[in-house]
Amino acid sequence: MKKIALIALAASAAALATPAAAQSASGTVGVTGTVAAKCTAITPITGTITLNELALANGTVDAAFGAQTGGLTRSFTVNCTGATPSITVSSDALNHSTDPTTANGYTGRVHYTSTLVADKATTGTATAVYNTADVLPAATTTNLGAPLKNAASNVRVTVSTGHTTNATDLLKAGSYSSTISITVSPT
Amino acid sequence: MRKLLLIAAPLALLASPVLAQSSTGNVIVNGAVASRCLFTTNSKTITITELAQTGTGAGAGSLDAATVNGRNETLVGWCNSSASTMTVTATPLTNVASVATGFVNRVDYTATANANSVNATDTSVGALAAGTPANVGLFTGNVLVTLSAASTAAGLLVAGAYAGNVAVTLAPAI
Repeated sequence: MKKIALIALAASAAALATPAAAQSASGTVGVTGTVAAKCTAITPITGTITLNELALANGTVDAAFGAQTGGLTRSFTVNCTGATPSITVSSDALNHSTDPTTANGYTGRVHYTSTLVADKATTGTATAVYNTADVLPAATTTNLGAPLKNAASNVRVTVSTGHTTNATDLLKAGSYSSTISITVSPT
Repeated sequence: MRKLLLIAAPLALLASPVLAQSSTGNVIVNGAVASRCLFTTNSKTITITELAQTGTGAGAGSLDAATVNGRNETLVGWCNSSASTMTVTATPLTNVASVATGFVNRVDYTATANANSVNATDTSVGALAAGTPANVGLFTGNVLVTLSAASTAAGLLVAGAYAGNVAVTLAPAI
């Protein structure tokens, strides 16, 4: 009798331990990211172009800058993440260090052309051209219409076409200097 | 559900885009122009057909200074430096023929070069030497050379050809 009772208790205990229906908990974690449109100069956009003697033997400007050393072009490596970056170029004229005026057949100012070229990731190049003048025009901007090519030396600037306001003007002796400003923008 | 939101929110903040970034730089372009002077017309000739006084007067045969004085010619040149100078060296008119007592074969004079409204002068009297440099500065245009103060020692001019010279030197001084 005692055994029976024990069995019955056990059965009752078994009934209490019966598992409930399985219940899982689930969730999701969203992971998102963005890449900002940006342009970064891998090689700094700096440098010096040395033209040396600006005048021909007859005293007028040497349009070809034939006395230069080190070349008339400087190259830079720029990375851009934007789909259609832009390049912008401007400069002042080559001005005499102390007297950039023009008068009496002489001038202390040499104008020139800056040509900024960027390689497209697709094919070809985009070009922005800036010509100095006595009244400086606004900077020149060109949109590539394509990503910037992911390659070294993908942005280049070249100076050319030296000239004076009056073609027959003689150049004053002295030092001349100018600065070309270059911007590569992501859009 | 509350835990899910708490996790997702920080991840979204980390992924927020930054502002667009451009890359800008400068290239310096340097040049120079050397100090220089140049004659674009560097030679002219003053021709005096007869140096001596003609006629039968007391001075006949001696120098007629009027045939020399005031004669001029124009060179053309330029200097591109404010410190440029001009120097004149006058060489007398001389005749290679030998002289005898009472005769002379040399005519002296003063030469004046004018450029940029500045005069540089030299006399041929005495030993050959350049005159004092004059600062002509930066100019382009005519260099007017004028003769004056013609003279000789006492005597008659020996017949023959006489030749002299006025050398004008433009020099950049920088």
